[in-house]
Amino acid sequence: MLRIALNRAMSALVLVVIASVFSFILVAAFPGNVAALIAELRGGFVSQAVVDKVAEEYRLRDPLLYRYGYWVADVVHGDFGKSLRTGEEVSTAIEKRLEPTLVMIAGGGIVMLVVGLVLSFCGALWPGGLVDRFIRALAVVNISVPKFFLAAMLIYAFGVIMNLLPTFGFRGPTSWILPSIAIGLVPGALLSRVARVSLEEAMSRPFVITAMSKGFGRRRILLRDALPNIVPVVLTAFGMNLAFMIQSAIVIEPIFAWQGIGAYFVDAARFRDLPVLQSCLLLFSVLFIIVNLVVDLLVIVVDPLQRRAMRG
Amino acid sequence: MNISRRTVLFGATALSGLLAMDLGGSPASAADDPKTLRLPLARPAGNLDPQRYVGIFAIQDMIFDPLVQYTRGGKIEPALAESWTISEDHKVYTFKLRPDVVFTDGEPWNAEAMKWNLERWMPKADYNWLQVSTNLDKIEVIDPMTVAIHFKQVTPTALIEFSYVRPVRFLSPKAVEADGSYKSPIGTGAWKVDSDTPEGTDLVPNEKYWGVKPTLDKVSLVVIPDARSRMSALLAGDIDAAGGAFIAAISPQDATTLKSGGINIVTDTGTDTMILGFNPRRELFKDIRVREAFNLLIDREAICAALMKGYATPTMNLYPDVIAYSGKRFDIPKRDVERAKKLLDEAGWVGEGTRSKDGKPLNVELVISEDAVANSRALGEVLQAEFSEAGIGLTLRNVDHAARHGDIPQFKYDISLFITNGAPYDPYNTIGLMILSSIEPGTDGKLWEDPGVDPLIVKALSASEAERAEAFQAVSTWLHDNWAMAPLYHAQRVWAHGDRIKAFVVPATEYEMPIKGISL
Repeated sequence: MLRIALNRAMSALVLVVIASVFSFILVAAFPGNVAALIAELRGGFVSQAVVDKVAEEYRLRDPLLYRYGYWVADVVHGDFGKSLRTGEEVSTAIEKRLEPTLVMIAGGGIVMLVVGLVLSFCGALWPGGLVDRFIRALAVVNISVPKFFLAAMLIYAFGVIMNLLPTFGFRGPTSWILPSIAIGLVPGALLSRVARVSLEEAMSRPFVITAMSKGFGRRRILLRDALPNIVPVVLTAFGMNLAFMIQSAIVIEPIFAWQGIGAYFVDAARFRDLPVLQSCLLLFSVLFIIVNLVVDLLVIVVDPLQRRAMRG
Repeated sequence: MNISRRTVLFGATALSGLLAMDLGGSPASAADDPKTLRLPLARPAGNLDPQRYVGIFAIQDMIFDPLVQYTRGGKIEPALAESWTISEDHKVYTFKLRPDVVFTDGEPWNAEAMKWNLERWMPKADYNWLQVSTNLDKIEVIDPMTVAIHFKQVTPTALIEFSYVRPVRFLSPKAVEADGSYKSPIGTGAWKVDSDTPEGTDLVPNEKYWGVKPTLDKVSLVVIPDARSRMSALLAGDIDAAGGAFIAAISPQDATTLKSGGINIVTDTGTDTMILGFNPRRELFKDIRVREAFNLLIDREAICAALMKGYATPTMNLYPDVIAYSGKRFDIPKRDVERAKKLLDEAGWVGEGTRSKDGKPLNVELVISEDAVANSRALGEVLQAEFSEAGIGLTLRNVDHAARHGDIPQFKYDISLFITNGAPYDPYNTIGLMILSSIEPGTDGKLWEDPGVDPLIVKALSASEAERAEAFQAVSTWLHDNWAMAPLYHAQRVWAHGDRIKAFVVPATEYEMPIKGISL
């Protein structure tokens, strides 16, 4: 078990290194004159001489490989640099903004799980029935609706028309509801499809027929016998979607005016705030890799088949 | 295995819990704080250092006072300077400072504080886009409440420049670190910062303020980056107003939507001009006939009606008439495709389809940037259609803020959209920085360059008050007669507010919050 965990962790580490290369190169290769932007923010009329001075100071004209080197050297020492725009330490800024993002992902995770499991179970309980068909249609509609549109509609319906919930802001549990739904509903619909199909497959297994012949009801069989069989699949799908939520946060946070990492990233992208962009991208990749690693390990824990195969 | 059942149960409990909370809570209601004004910001307030260009102008304006105040139409009124005299040769400005003014940290406002502030920027080359900085000779403290500023040459823009927000406002000499770098936003203004986070900035009245004290208890500025979310918040009553080009801009389309949703729309004449600028260094545009043809192909009335939903006035002038010395209004030419075609023929651009000259097709690139110039994509598409009728191939290149900042000053475009500086900077800044060819192009680029207009601009910038109107008229007549650019419209300044606000006054410039004259 430990050996497997170590193995997975090693490959995760390799992924982090690859992610760091991409985080740096992609951002550094953006078009646009970063030096001019920095110079402008410092104040005064920006002449070419000022721009050159700034470029020199920030080593913006050194070869890309060197710049990657400087950056990695700083990052491994825990120094993510300073925002070019505000002069704030990137690590402090990220720390301040971590809470809204984590709340959003946690809320989204709950919504996803509830939606996914409730829908798939209702579907499996009455297969082919009105509920099942409705759920399938709902899932398709949900998957096709862009998240920003869903968010805007939720705000309009619950915030403006019904005036039940705040339209924006990160101010206590009531303000968490709409963003959690906005970010969790689509993955929830996806999860419900995965779970529904796996349940169907589990329900056609011989042990189900045995259970039926013993006279157990459909609900009991679903919960007692079929459910444990789909846990690894659902867990994997859940983990994947949870990791993807980190990216959805980039879209959802600004809509709800949450000042999380996603909003920070968007703001930085507009101003070519390289240290911020690079740190955020690296953080996204690391979170993604960690979530996947944890899910992989959990699957090994809950799935006797996998454990046996490994021991084998 | 019971985990899954537990998960289901847990999920169901969590959901019902959330739903229960949902019914209990309601958005932060306005009734809790009847004298708090809630306004949105499109981005966080940022570093409010009055000598840096990072923070939001309008917040700096609330905290830091100017020496003199710019009011509607360009009139200058006393602020931290109670009165002033100008020497006969217009080179020495002597300011008598307002007595009994203190910074919010208790530091007194006096000649020393003024000199300390001015020395932070006036002698530095970085600030020489301001005449008062370029021309500075010395700052002389005459007595504790009197300061004379000596200039090397006539500086007619001095008073107006001293009304700007940055870098000219006054910071408490104690609000800096040991090395002199900015520490905290301490000014003499009507407001002081109560809290400042990435979510927003709260300001409360400065109880020691020297002027008319605010009637509000608090101004709560909340960061809502998404324009649509701001509209929802306004419709739901979670914020009181929105607007201002650099605060939380409202597009003409949004204004129309909000109006139909029962929100009050207040407008005021804009102080800037949207201009289609020709790259002065392209051979193509050195031909006046080409410039005239481009001008004649634009249907300014239709653009104002359809794109701007009537929230703009068509123009052929560089400045709207609310700007001092903006001069006489020029007639707006009717769109005339036939005359434009004839002009292009005469200029040697001929042929069916896309015209060409010496085998080179008449393809022109329009650089647009939604970040820098809102609405520029839609405008670009209209121009594309209008130009194509006369055989001009127009391609749009959409760039972001950073790319525009690189390309425009380096003349990497054929045509682009520009906005003049507006109040309080004009009439001086736009002609001085964006047309006068002896000044290197800044990040806003150049509207036009021509040795013919340079002496006229120099004359206007240094003219005495008696000659000023005529000197500025000469510049604008030259630009107009030479078809130097294609002015399009003066956009109105749009603010939207809900019913909680009883009286609303649009501020004099885009650099102020709508607080004066407001009542809840």
